[in-house]
Amino acid sequence: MQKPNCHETAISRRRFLSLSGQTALAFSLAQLIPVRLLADEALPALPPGLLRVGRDVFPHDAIGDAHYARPLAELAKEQPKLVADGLADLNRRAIEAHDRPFEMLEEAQRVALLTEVERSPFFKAVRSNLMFGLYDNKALFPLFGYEGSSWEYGGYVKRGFDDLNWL
Amino acid sequence: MATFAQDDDGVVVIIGSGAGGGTLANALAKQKIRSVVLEAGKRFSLDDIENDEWAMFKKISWLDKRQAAGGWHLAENNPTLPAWIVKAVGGSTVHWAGIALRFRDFEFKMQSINGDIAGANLLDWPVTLEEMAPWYEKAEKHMGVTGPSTGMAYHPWHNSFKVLATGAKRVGYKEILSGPMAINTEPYDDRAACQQIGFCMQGCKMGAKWSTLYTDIPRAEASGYCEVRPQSMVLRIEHDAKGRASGVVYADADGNIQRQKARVVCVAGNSIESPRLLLNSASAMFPDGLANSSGQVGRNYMTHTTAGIFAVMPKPVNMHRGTTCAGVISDESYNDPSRGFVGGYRLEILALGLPFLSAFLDPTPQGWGKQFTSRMEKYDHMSGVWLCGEDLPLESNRITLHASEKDQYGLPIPVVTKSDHPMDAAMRKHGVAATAKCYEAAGATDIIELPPYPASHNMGTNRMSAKARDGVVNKWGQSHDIANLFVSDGSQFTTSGGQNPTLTIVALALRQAEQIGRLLNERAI
Repeated sequence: MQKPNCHETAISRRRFLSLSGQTALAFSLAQLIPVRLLADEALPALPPGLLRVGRDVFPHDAIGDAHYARPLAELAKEQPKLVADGLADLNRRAIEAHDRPFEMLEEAQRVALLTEVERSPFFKAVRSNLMFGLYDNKALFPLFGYEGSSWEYGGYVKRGFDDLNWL
Repeated sequence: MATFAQDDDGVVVIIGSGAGGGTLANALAKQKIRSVVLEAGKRFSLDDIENDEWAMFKKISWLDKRQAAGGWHLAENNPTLPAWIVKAVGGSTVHWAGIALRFRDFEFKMQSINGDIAGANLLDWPVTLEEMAPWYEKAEKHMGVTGPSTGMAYHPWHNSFKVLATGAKRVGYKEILSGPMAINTEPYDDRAACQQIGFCMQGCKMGAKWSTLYTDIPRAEASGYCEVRPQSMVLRIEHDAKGRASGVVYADADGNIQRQKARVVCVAGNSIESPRLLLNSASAMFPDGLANSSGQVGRNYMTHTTAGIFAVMPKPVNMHRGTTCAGVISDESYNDPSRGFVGGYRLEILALGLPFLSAFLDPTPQGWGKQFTSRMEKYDHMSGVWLCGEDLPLESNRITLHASEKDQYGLPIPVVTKSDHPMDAAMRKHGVAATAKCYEAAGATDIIELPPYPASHNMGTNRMSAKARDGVVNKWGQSHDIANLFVSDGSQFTTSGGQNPTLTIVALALRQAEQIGRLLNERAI
C-alpha cells in the first residue's frame, strides 16, 4: 500500500526543518529527492503477502514500499522455498484463526500471528534482511537524522558536535 | 623492514600485534632485541578506514568460528559472536574507543579486601598500584592520554555527554569527566588532533586515537629489530625435550604450514585465542596444554559486567556527532559492598550509528514491530551509556576446545562459556537504575535497556598469580611452568577492575619488555 507522494515529502520536509540550522544546509534537496524517486519506480515482483509481512515487521509510515520491496525481492530470490513455506504457514494460521488470508486481517491480528512465528527461520530471515535494507541504507539516513560518513567533511568539530542548547 | 630467518632461534616470537604484542615489539626493539610478530589478520592503512559501521565490521572483525555457551544472553541471542574484537595488524587497538583509565588501588587486591566470595575464584594480583604507577605514567605518555601525564586537555563535551552530565549533576554525581582518553586533543606524537568524526570504533581516520597499527608497529619495523608477518595464524607452540618453548607452527597467507624458531615466545592473541593456543599446544609432556599445571588456562574468563542503556530525549541530541565514548562518570567505581556487590563500575557514554542501533537495540526475538520502529524513529533524540564494571572471576567461565567442530586449519574451535555471578547481576541492576535516574533527571521520555553487547573486553584466561597453583603466569606475565614463555595481553588480568583494560595492558607490556631484556642479559631465559 503506497503512501501518496505529498505525504512523504511533507514528512521529509518536517525532518529537514528539525535539523539544527548549521547542518540543515548540509542536506540539499538533492539528497531528499532520491527517496521520492525510488518510490516512483516500479516495484520488483514479490510473492503475495511478503511486502505486508515486511511492513509489519518494521512499520515506518514515512518509508515507501520500494525500500522494503528491493531487499525482500532479493530474499525471495535467494531462498524461495523458505519464503514460500513461511507465507503459506502464515496464511494457514490466518484462515484457521480468522477465516481470511493474512493480508486481509486487521493490523492487531496480523501482529499476533507474526508474534507466533517470530522465532521461525522465515521470520528471522525477513527481519535480518530488512534490518540491513532499511537501516543500513544511505538513502534513508536523512529520515532518521543520521548524517553518515563524516571524515570527508572534517568531522563534526565545526558541524555541531556540541551545539545542544535546550538543557 | 628487516626479515629474520625461520631457523633463527635468537628471536622473540610475539603472537598478536595489538595493545600487548605491538607495544611489546616496539619496546623490545628499543632495547635492540629482535622479534618476529606473527599476526593472524591483514594489514590495513588509514586509507582502508571507512566511516561505515557494517563495512568496517566485516573488514576488521575476528569472524573465525566461535561458539558462545552458558547462561549469558549471548549464548541465546548471538551464539556465533561472543566477542567483538579485531583480526588485523594493530589488533583491537584499531577499533577500541580510547578510554584510558588506571586501575584503582583496591582493584589489585580484591581478595584481601573482600575476602573469599562464595561461587567466585577471587585472587589478588601479584602486583600493586604502587608498582604499576610509574608504568601507567609511561603508558599514558606513550599513547598520548589526555590529562596530567601529557598535559593535553580533556575533550570538549559533546551533545550526548552534555545530556548525561546534566542529569548526573542533578542526582548528585560529582566525578563527571570527558576522559581520560588516548585520543589527541592537540597534535601529539606526530599524529593529528581529534576532529570529532564520530566513528572511533570503525578505526580513527585521523590517527588521533592511539593504535599500534600506526605507532608501535611501523616504528618497531623501522628500527630494523622487528619483522611483522601479517596473515600468519599461529597454530601451535612447540617445546624441546627440556620443556622450553622452542618455536611456533603457523599457517601463512597461502595456508602453507611454516615454522619459526624462537628464543622466547610471547602470547598476545587476546583472551580467547591465547588460552586456545596454549590448550591446542598440548603434548605428551604437557597433556593439559602448555603452561597449564594449575588447570587455570582458559578459566576465569571476564568481560566486565556490562549493559547498554539508551534514553530518548524530548529534543534532538545527535549522539553520532563526535567521539563515541568521551564521557565517564566514576562516582560508583569504588568498593562499597553495602550496594550488594564488590568492586565498582563506570557509566560511559556510548553512541551507536543508525545501522548498529538497529542491530543492538533489541536483538531478542521480540525486537520488531511498532515499539521498535517508533524508537528507531527517535534516533536523533537519543543519548546512550555503556556500563563497565567489575566482573567476578569464576572457574566455570572459561574458554574450552570444542569436542568435534574444527576450524579451517583442522583445530578445535573455541567455546566461550560464561554465566553471571549473583553479584554481577546485582551490579548490572544497580548500574542500569543509576543510569536511568540520570537520564530521567535530564528529562528523558523513554529509557531502553539493551542486553550486553558481544564482549569487546576479554580478560583473565591466563591469569597472573603469586602461587603457581592459582594461575598461569607470575607478576611479569611469565609462565610459572615454562621460563621462556610469556603472556602479554589482557588474558593476564587476575581481576577485571571497573574500567577499560587497554591502558593496563600497555603498561604491563612496557614493564614486561624491560623484564625480558633483563632476563635475556642475565641469560636467565
